[in-house]
Amino acid sequence: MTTSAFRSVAAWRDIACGTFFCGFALVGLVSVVNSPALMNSLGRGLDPGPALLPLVTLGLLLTGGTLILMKGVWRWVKRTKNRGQPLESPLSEVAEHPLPPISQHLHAAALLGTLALLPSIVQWLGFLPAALAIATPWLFWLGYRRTRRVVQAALLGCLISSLLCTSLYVIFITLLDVPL
Amino acid sequence: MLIESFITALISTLLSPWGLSLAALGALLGIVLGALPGVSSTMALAILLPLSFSMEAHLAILFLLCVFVASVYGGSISAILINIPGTPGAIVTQLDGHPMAKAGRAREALVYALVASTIGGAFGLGLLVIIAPLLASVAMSFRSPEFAAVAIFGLVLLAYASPGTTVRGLLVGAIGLICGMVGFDTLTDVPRFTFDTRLLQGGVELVPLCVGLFGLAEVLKHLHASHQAAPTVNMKATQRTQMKVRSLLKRWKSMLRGSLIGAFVGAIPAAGSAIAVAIAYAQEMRFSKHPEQFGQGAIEGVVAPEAANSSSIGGTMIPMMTLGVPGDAITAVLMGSLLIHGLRPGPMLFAENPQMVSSIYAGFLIALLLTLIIGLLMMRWLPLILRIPSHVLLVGIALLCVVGAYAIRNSMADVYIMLFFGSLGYLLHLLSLPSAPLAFGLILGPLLEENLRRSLILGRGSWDMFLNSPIAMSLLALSIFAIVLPFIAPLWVRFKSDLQRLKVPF
Repeated sequence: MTTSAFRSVAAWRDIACGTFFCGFALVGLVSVVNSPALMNSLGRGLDPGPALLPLVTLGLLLTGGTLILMKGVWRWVKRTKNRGQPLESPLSEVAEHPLPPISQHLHAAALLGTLALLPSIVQWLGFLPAALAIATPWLFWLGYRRTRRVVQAALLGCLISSLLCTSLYVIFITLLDVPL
Repeated sequence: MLIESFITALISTLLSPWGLSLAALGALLGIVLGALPGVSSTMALAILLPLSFSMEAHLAILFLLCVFVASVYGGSISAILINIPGTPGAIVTQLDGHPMAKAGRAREALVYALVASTIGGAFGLGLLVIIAPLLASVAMSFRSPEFAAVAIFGLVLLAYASPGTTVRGLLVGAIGLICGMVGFDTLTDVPRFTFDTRLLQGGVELVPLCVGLFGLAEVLKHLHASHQAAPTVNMKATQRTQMKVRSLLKRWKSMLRGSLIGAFVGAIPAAGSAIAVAIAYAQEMRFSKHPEQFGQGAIEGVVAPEAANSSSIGGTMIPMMTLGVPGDAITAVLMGSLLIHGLRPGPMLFAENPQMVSSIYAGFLIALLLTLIIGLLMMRWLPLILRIPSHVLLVGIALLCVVGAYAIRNSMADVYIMLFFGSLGYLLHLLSLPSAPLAFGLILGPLLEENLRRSLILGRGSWDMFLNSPIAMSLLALSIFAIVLPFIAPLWVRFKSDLQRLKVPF
C-alpha cells in the first residue's frame, strides 16, 4: 500500500472510530439525561449516586471519540489538499479505493440476519426444523462456493446440517433440558 | 490444609467416572478446536461455556480447564503441520515446528511440543499454587479504595496490552464499563441504560457477551474466506517413528527456561501467551550454541515456546483468582463460568471457598495429564482434524452460539444480546479496534463502581481515602503512567536523538 493510500485508510478509519465512540457516548448520555431518577441522584447524600460513573465514563468516551474524529478529519483535509500532487506509487487505484469492498461483508450481514430470525422461527416451528431451515441453505451455499458442484453441495449440506442440528438437539434439549 | 483438600479433590475426580469422562471430553474437544485454524482458545472456551451451565461448579471448571489447557497444545498442531498457528500462543512454534514437519519429523515435533506443554503447564500450576495464596492474603487487607484502584489499573493494563493504541483500547473498555451498568443499580435499584425495554432490565451478562464477542464475531470474520481450502496433510506425517526418551530429557534446560518465562510473563495482567512465547524463543536463541539452526527446525525452538505457552496459563490465573482481574481474554471467559455458578474470583474465594480453589488446582493437574495422554493417543489421526471443512465448522459454531446463549437463562434476551455483541465484535474488527477490553470493562466495571462509591461514602464524600492509601495511589500513578507512556515515548526518543545530533553528552 502506498503512503497516500495508507493515509486515506487511516483518515477514514479515524473518522469511523471517532463517530462510533461519539455515537455510543451520545446515546448513553441521552439515556442518562432523560432519566429523572438518575439525574436527581447526583449530589444527594454521601453516596455519589448511580449516575456519577456513567456520566464520567460517557464524558471520557465523548472526549476521546471527538479527538479521534478531529484527527481523522484533519488527516482527510490534509490528504484532499495534496490530491493534486502526483502519488508516490503507480498503484493509484489502491489509493482511490482504499477500503475493502462492501461485498466482503455481505456474508456476515446475511448470517447475522438469519441468526436474528432463528428465535422467531424456533417459536413457530420448534428447534430442530428451525435449525435445519437455517443450517441447510448456509451449508449448501458455502459448500457450493468451495466446490462449485451443486449436487454434491446439496447432498452434503443436507447430511451435515442434519447431523449438526441433531447433535445440538440431543446435547442441549435432551441431555441439558434446555426448554427450546 | 490446602494439600489435603487438593488431594481430596484430585482423588474424588479421578474416582468419579462422570468427572473423568467430562475431563476427557474437554481435553479431546480442546485439542480438536485448538488445532483448527481460526478457532482460538478463547473462542473454544466461549462456545463450550454454555455446555457447562448445568454442571456442578467443580465439574464445570474441570471441563473448561481441560478445554483451555488442551486447546493451548492444540494450537501447535496446525502450526507444526500446516504452518498456520491454531492459537496466537503457537505463533512462534511454527518457525521451527513446520521445518521439522517438512523434513519428515512432524511426529517428533508434535511429541516435543506436547511434552514441553505438559511440563510448562505443571510449572505454571506450581507457581499458581505457591503465589496465589500469598497474593490473596495480601489482597485480604485491601479496602474499597485499593479495590477501586486495582480495577482501574487492571483495565488500563489490559487496554495497554491489547492490539492497537492504548487510548482506543481504553475507550473500548469504557464501552464495556457502560455495558456493565445496564440494568438496575445494585445499591439504589434505579434503572440505567434500559431504554424502557424489558430486554435490558436483566442487565448484560458476561457469558452472552463472551459468546458473541469471541465466538460469533470470529465466525463473521472468517465467513467470507470459508471457501478457501486448507492445506492438506498426509496421514503418514504423524505415524510412529523412532524417538528416545533420553532425547526428550536432554531438553530440560530449554523447557525450564521457557516455563519460567511463561509463568512470570503470564502473571502480568494482559501480557498473555503471545508475548511469553516470543520472549522464550528469543532467549532460547541467545542461550543456544547453534543459533543459526533456529528457523530451520531447531528442537529448542519448539520446546521453549511451547513450555512458555502452557506455563503462562498458570500465570494468567494468578491475577484472576487473587484479585478478580482477568489476566487475558481466556481467563475473562473462565471467570464467566465461575460467576455463573455464583463464585466471585478474588481474595474472598480463598477464605470462603477453599475447596473450590483446591478443585481448580486439581482440575488443572488432571487437564495437563489428560492432554498428554489423549494427545499421544490421537497423534496418528491429527491430520484428519485439519481436513474438517471450515464452512461446516463456522455454521456449527454459529448455531452453537445461539443455542448456548439461550441456555444461559433460558431467555431469548440473551440470544439478542449475544447477536448484538457478535455484530459489535465484527464492527470493532473492521475499525481495527481490540474487542477484549469490552469484556474486561464488563468484568471490572461493577468492581470499580461498587468500591468507588463505597470509598466515597466511607470518606463522607471526600477523595482522601484514595490519597491516604499508598497502594491505591501507586496503582493510580502506574495507570496514569501507562496511559501517557505512548504519548511521551516518541517525544522522548526524538529528544534523545536531537541531543545526540547536537552531540550533547547524555
